[in-house]
Amino acid sequence: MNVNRRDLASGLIFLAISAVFSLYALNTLPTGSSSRMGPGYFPLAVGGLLGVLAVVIIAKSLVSPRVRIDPWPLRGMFFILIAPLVFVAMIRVAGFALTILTVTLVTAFASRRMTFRLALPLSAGLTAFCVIVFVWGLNLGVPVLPPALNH
Amino acid sequence: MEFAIFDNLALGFTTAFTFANLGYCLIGALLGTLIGILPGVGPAATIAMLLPITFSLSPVSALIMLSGIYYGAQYGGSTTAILLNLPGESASVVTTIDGYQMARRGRAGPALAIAAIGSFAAGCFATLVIAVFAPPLTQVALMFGPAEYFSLIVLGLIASVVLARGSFVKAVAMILAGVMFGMVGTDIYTGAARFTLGTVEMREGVAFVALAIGMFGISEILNNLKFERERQITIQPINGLMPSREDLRRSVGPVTRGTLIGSFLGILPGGGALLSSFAAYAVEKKISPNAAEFGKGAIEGVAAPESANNAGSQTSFIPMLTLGIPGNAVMALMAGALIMQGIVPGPAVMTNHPALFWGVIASMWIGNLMLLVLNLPLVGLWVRLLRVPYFVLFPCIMAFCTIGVYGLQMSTFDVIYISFFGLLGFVLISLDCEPAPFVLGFILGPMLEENLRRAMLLSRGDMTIFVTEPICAVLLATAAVAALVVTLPTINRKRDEVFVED
Repeated sequence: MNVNRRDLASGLIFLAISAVFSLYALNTLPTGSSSRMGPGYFPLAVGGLLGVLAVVIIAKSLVSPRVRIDPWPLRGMFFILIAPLVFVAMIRVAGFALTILTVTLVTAFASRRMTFRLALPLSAGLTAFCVIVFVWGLNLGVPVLPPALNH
Repeated sequence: MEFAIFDNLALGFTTAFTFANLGYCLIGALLGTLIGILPGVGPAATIAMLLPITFSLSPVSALIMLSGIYYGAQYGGSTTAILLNLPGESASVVTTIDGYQMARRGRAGPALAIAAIGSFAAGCFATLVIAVFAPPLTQVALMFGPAEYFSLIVLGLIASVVLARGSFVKAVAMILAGVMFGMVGTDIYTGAARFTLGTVEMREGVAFVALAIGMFGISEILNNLKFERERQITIQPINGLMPSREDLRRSVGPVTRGTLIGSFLGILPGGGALLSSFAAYAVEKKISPNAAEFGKGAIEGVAAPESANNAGSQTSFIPMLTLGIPGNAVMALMAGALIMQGIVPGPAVMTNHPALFWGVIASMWIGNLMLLVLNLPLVGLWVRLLRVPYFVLFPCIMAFCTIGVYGLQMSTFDVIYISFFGLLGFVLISLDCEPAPFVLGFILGPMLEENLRRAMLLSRGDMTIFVTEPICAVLLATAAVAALVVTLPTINRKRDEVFVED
């Protein structure tokens, strides 16, 4: 079938965003009237408009010449998108140094050409740099070592 | 009137010429080049990633530093375009055509030099254009009521995607999606919590810096990973920087024309740097006596688009500073930075914060000067950065981004947004949806809603004022015509052709 998959997929994403926000607004926010707009009025209006556009994009994509979606770099996506979450999980308990060491190690493996022997010195050096610049230099109020060690 | 201009510029230069502000401008230009020269990192990504470091500064210093970063990043983009045939941003795509050819013939030095000299000349002129045209535009905007302002924002948003490339409908959908995410948080009129998923953290709205880093920075990194296997770097060597007398003579005309084209197109929303450089190249190719050389390393083909690019990016400050309506991604980031500093971009900035307004304009000129006297001699050092492999680059970027976002408010919640918007941005980019309109919508959404609600309060809910009030009607009709025209099939095809580089 001739389908522009890029348009189809983006249309579906827009439809999802429109539906989530519109339903959320309908269920939790008073709409009000046009002379006294409630907090739900504008979200519903924008959500409706976005929904219409999404349907147009989807409809057009079904009758367009075929366009594929390039394959995603799944390995890179995994390591790069997980890194901030690692930061969030560690920063409060593990201290600054261990957190940055782990975050940079994880990110390094987004590249196919990475090996442990390259990554470890790189991450260690970067961690030292960040401790000096951000914690000592710019006075970021974060403990360098795990807070638990101090007790 | 003329005297007022010089008074204003004098105020600007006294603001910008303090030791600290000159320092921030310098650091900004250096950092901007440092990040902007990295392969595949454009100005928007650079600014997004460096945003956190400016927030500890005063608004004036922060904006001065950001402009420094912007010019540095743009210059970095031209450098990779010329030396690597790899445009850091869409605006330097045309520079690659003749710039890379010059580099291959051993004339990389003159190409880089003429890019910097042309940019500086363009910067000087564009600074004057801003000083002359900004005040009257502000006067007009100050007369606008909420209904007019709403219409103006609609026009600005539509125009910003009409003049950009790619599917119009998808770009408008991206704007609306951005507007939706901009509504997350506490409603300013009723105090109702909107779309906060029951969390306390989301009551303050989506953290702008994290959103910008995700949409521009992380998504761009992921997009680069797609090509890691094919990536091979051959950097053309630089022998001697100075352009010959002949080079300079041939460049005078193109620089002048490029500057004029860029200054004009830059004011239009969305057009800015991209449209300017394409238009300037096309004009030179038509009228140059050396037209046959174009595409094979003509210096005019570097001088014209680089001047236009810089003039355009400078005058694109005009709608942001005077009307509060950013026309492109970079201006959206600047506007976001201002908002986070507690200053609402718009016509009031010039009257309430004259030192900020004119200081930023003066610092543009200073930033250009710094690029010329500093970056050009340092080009050998910058070039080494081009060899930095991705697996070194990404951990550095990720460490700085997470620390930067966390350091702003000590909020772990904000750091999660980086992943969320990084994923959203990358997926949408891979589906041919540019992230810029999304961020524009996010920034302008709250202004759009506030003005609509105020307008409706004043008119007692009468929607017809948008048709009966003459200014509203004209603005909205212009937006409608622009939208209609661009969706017509024949025009649409022509528009695609404009952005196709030979």
